[in-house]
Amino acid sequence: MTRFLPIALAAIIFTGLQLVIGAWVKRVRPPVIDERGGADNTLDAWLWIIATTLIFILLSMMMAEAWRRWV
Amino acid sequence: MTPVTTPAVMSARATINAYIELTKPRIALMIVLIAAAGFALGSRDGIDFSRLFHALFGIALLSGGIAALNQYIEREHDCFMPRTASRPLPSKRLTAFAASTFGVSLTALGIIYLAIFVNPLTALLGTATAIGYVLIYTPLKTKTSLSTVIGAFPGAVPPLIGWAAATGRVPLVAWALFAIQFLWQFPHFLAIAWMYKDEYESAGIRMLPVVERQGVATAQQSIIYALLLIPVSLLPTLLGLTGMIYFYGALALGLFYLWASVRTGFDSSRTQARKLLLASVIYLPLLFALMVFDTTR
Repeated sequence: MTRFLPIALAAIIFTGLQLVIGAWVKRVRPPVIDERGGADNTLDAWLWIIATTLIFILLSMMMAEAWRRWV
Repeated sequence: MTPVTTPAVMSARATINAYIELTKPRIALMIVLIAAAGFALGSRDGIDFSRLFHALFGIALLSGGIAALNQYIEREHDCFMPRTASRPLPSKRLTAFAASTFGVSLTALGIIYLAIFVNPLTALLGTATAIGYVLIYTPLKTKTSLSTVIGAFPGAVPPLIGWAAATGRVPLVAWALFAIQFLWQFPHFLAIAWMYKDEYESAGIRMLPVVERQGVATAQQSIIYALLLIPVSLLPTLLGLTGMIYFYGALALGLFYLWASVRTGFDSSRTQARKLLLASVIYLPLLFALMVFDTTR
């Protein structure tokens, strides 16, 4: 349980961070005039968020170990 | 009647040039330089120049072989993109058989060379890179935009393989170098994908900007990876490999790369994506140069 909690917390933080950045980009980025049309694939966008979160959890473990050695 | 797949009669010099082009020499040079940095950083008791030469030669062979096999697999897609249409296979300067034979031979030679003249771990990492890049990443490019994530794993091997060549081991600090190169690739390749999204779409390659054409997810992912790259790029100092000059230099370079990524959030133009691409090719060599310069070993 104690091992699971930091991972769950990291997952929430990294997913949240991506959603915040995504919402900011959506607000400030001028819309792209796309002659080809077609709906945006939100499934791919979500798959990227999930994959990125998993990668970040792994890297957090590496950073935690580096920090432990540093201090 | 001459079959359309037969290349036009070329001089020996032009044929040799086509084979050299098939190895993507500029990318091979960058891979070799990063691997050399990994080797130098891993060499605790001075650099063994004979081993360094063997390692870089083997890595260059492997890199050339992988590039040739990649172009063999993508030969039909490359015909649809102006950026790649002049490559040796789509332009019919080499046959598919010649390119595949050349690619397999060079890859096998590279792995065997590394196993004999360097060490088994380096050869193993080389084999994993070849399998990951040629057999997993390349075929997935037409199936899912997540292929970029998968391709980032073999793409991050150069510093790790350099370190393994020097020491026969891959400690945590070597994985930190792997992580730096891994994260660096995302803003770099997403910028290329944004610049050439129409070409990729014509060729049936599912890059993120092709499936999410507004580019929100592309900018989001570029920013988040550039952001995470900052703390990860500081790991070499935390792990005792580099000093404080590197620490502050990496911090400044990381902020520069992050700013270039954040700008793609404000600006969806191709020009801005090109600026991010330029920032990425400035960032990585400078970071590794700084690492080698300020190593504490």
